[in-house]
Amino acid sequence: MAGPSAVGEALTRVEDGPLLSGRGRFVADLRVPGCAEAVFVRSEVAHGLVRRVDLGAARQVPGVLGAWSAADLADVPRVPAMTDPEVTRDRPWPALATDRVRYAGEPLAVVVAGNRYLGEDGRDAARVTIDALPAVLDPARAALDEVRLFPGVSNVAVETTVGEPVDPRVWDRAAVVVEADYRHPLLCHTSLEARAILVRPDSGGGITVWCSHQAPHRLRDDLAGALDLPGGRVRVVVPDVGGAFGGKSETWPEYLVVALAALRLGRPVRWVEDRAEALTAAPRGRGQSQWVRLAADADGRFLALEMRTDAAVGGYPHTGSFLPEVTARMVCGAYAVPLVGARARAVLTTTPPLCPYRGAGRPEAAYAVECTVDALARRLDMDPAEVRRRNFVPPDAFPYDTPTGFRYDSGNYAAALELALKTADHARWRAEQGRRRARGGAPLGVGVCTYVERSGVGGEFGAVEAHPDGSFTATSGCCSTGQGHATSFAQLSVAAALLVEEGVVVDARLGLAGVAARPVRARDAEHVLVGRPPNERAITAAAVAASAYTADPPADPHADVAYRRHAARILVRRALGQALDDISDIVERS
Amino acid sequence: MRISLTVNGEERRLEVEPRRTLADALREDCGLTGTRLGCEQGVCGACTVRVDGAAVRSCLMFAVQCDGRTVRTVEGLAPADGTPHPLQTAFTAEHALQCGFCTPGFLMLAATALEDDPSLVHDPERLRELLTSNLCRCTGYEAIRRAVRRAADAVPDRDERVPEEGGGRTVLPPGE
Repeated sequence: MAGPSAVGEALTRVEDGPLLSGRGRFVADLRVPGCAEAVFVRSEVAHGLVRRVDLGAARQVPGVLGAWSAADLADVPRVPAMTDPEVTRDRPWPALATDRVRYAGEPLAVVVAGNRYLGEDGRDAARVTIDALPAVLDPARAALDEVRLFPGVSNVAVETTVGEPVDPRVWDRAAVVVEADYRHPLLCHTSLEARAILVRPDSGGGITVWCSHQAPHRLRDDLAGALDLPGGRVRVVVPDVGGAFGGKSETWPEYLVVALAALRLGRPVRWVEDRAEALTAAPRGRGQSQWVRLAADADGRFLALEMRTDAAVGGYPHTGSFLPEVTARMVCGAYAVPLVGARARAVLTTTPPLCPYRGAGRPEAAYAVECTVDALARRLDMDPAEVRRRNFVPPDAFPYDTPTGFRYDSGNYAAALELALKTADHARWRAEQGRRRARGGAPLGVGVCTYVERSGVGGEFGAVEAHPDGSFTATSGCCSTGQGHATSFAQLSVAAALLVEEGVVVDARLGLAGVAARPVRARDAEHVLVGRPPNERAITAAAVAASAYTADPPADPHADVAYRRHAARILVRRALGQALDDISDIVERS
Repeated sequence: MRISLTVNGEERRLEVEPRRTLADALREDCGLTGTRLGCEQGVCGACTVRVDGAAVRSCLMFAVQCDGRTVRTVEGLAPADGTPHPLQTAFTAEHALQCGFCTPGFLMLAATALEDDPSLVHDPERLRELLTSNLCRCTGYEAIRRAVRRAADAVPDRDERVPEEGGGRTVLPPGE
């Protein structure tokens, strides 16, 4: 990190003030007049046939405003697929269970009351009869289809193979082969704020939704698609979010039901998931059973790698269904492995549906490959860091196409490892470990692990508006779940405007925020553009000029000077490219 | 039941059911939503407030138990003159919060502990033990620990050193 410059002091976050004084606003903190609270009646068995959901007594509880099961709704909306529609066609997920439950905690009915105490009284008065069926928890066992969750349909929702099967002779002839099984248990996302949504019907027939969410645009589209809102708008607002970790980027059945209840009652309804629900009924992460085999020569150079992984994707295939494939495609990690073959299956189990969790399939791959590399190092009695050095994708091999179908754009993994080892003072810890082993003392473990992150998946809206007074408004569709986006996105922004007449730039405005002590116009870069045709060469020249213009960018804990110059060059290119595209569109239309 | 309690220096008269928790009375009846509910079973500490000077889990206490007592929440942590409490300043300086959901609970826990015994911060074991009372899922606890020490104007202590032989509990990076 660079030393302090003009504004090099550590930045404090603009988010902190309200959060430190009790003025943060999470969904449960919102005060919307007339808001009722929703409580769910949930299945207590993992798998079974629903015989009866009797809400008669629940409706009689004082303070209960309404109660609905699937039988009370003419058309129970399906939970939006968020995976290949083919996968969910024969495996639909109704927002309230109809004839069968497929995980403990699955919503059977909703009770809405004036407050949560009364709502829970109503929930406790509901009478449910379910004939239990056998549970299947292990994905490999479930894949045998001895117990089917959907009659006549396989539990194996998705099966993918990547790479090529490895010739058996490779394993026979290799100097060393290690293999192992790894189990990633299902886990809970456990954000301190669990899931929460508030839906308010609006006078025009639409709804306003406040939700603790990671992807509000998708939630908006899903709600609009699932609900019958003739002419009505769906507006989604994400207030403060108390952590998410992947469990809040989806449209869950509870959200659809709360919206339905609000529309039926004609008043705002909120659901704040409690911890008991979050630890039983909420979607899960990880949940993979893996088998890995790695062959190497006597010097520890990898020859071949195979993986088979089965993910327990829960009672309904959802976002978790693509995770095992992500794992399989990342199985090479940071290494150049000549021969790779992997199979990934997403298998239905009678557990809450699987969804991404912190890394979304990639840490699962890193765990498997890194543990296996360590096993190989032990077998060869080699330093685990050295085994990794010998097998990294070398810097001159980028862009590198993995045998599993991914392209790594750039990297210098060996240099990164050396920096990490030096930073952690690895040699000293190894010496300390040796000393303790020789002379006694508390055992000391030293581990080395590498990780390649596939990023930049999907798209996100963003825009910057420059105002006449020199200020900027940056707009982002990227939704903060506590990371401090309002602070960091204000750090570096670029806005561009071009006036083109007869194929030549006659005026150019280029604003940069976050590259100097205050927002600036990159006049050097503007001069470069004026008088030239607005083409790729002009843009490149302007980007270089703009980068050089940022002579005194601020350094702070978020970005050093070199990074800001680099980022400024890229962002200027993009902004001008965008401006150029807009001009082309206008020209084409006219 | 009718109860009367003093919240952040203001007398509040409330009509509550016997089963209503102090947390719900503060959040819903007094409108003080800074006190957060994370687990409602006394584990996470997000709902920590002060009752007659002691840090308590407001999800585990009934409102009626506070009849006639004095309660302080995060909204009443800073002095009336508007200056922030040293812990609030230290938390932002040390980046001891991300999403901020657990933060009020940590602030009330630490404020109480520092008032009771500021020397706490010189004893790494006691400070660690204190902070394990509450759960944070974003920052890790190092920044929170630094913030509490900063608030107490603490000097670096023996916690930074390489563990002595056999001292297995304190494993921190070397490199002083």
